[in-house]
Amino acid sequence: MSTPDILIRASLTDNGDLPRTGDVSDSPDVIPYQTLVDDPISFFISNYDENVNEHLKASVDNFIYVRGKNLATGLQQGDIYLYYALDSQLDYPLKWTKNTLQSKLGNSYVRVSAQSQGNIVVTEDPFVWNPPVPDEGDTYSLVGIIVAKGTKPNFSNVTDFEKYVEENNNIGWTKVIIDKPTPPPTPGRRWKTTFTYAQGDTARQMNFSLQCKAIPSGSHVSFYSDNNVGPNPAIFLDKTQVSDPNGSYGIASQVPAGYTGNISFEFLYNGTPPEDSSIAFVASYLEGAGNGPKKTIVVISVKTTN
Amino acid sequence: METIGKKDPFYWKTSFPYVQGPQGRQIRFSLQCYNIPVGSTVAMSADVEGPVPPIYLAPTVVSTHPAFTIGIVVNVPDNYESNINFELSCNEKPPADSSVTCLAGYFQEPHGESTSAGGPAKLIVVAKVITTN
Repeated sequence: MSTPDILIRASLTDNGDLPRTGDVSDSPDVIPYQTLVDDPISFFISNYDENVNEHLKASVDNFIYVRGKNLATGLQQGDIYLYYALDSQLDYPLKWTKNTLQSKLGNSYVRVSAQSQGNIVVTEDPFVWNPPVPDEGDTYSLVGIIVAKGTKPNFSNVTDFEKYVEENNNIGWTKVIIDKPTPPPTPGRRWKTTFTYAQGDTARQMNFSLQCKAIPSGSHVSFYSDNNVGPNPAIFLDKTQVSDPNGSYGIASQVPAGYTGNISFEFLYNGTPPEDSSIAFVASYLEGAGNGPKKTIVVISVKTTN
Repeated sequence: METIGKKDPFYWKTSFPYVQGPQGRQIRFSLQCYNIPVGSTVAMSADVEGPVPPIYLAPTVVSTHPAFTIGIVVNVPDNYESNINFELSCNEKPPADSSVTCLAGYFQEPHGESTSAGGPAKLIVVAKVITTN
């Protein structure tokens, strides 16, 4: 069987002539799309003169539509396959031809038919891809190809992928941009309490902790000092998600004699916290020599109650 | 003594240790509100008796905006120690970065002069704790 004479464009100006020139990695016919389209055939025929490719969202299902135009005078039929590939591996098809994307209906290809010259075909059943969050420096492409019905694409002789796309108009190549998922927002601040801390005349290994009482799981707490000169490490607890409502979250720090700083601790929560729930900032140290029992000496405890 | 307690949708109470040290003094305790909505209530109290009058500000409705201050002057005996509490209660979440500062301090007159003699008195801050919304 011969390859159907259905053009998958390399660019909007591509009329099927070979070799294709210019940038062949932005096909308007291999169309990454974030959402399902109600009537994809009408939609993608109506905007055939446009490149409507979208960014993809990492870690969720995205939909890829493929369209093509019948260049022959009579009926043309074929099977469309779609692959994703790391751009760095495009010249090594063995590494990406296993990345066949399934259609929404679970098929490894989508069969299309064009009755006459100029007819546009669209994969009504889109391909589905749940792309990964790309590693630093990694970029991805989608490769769509139409082959004679009942056959499979054969890339075994391809060693220069770009040249292959330039010399074949039944294939479309789209470099995609994968947007990282938006992290869940950190809740807004409920309150922040600031007080002056003075170490006094003795340098010590201090423990700084936030001691929660009935603080909702999932809320966040943090503390910091406005003076980072001296303590090692700095008196700083980054926003930390509360996992135990009565938990304690903190750090140990070697604080030099004479150190002073304004310490702030904050509670981030959008809901209404339980009545009498509280967070106490406690600065303490352990007193006792050798292996004997040690006693916790609290230097200061400042508490804000909800 | 009456405190606010939780009565409105937005409420907090901050407690911190106050230590007078070896010298008893006349101390001014104040609550300084910044951008706190009019109609909110603030209050202050101490856990331990001793100062005269007591360190206590009854629940007070904030009546001016953006700045509102209320305070008392108290004779605090030497070596007095107590947790001091200050509270805010609002009908709704107050604006971001609005705050209430609890300030304890005394005025130090210039050496050899009285305040009335014209020398500016200097406020010596003994304790300052801020809770910001």
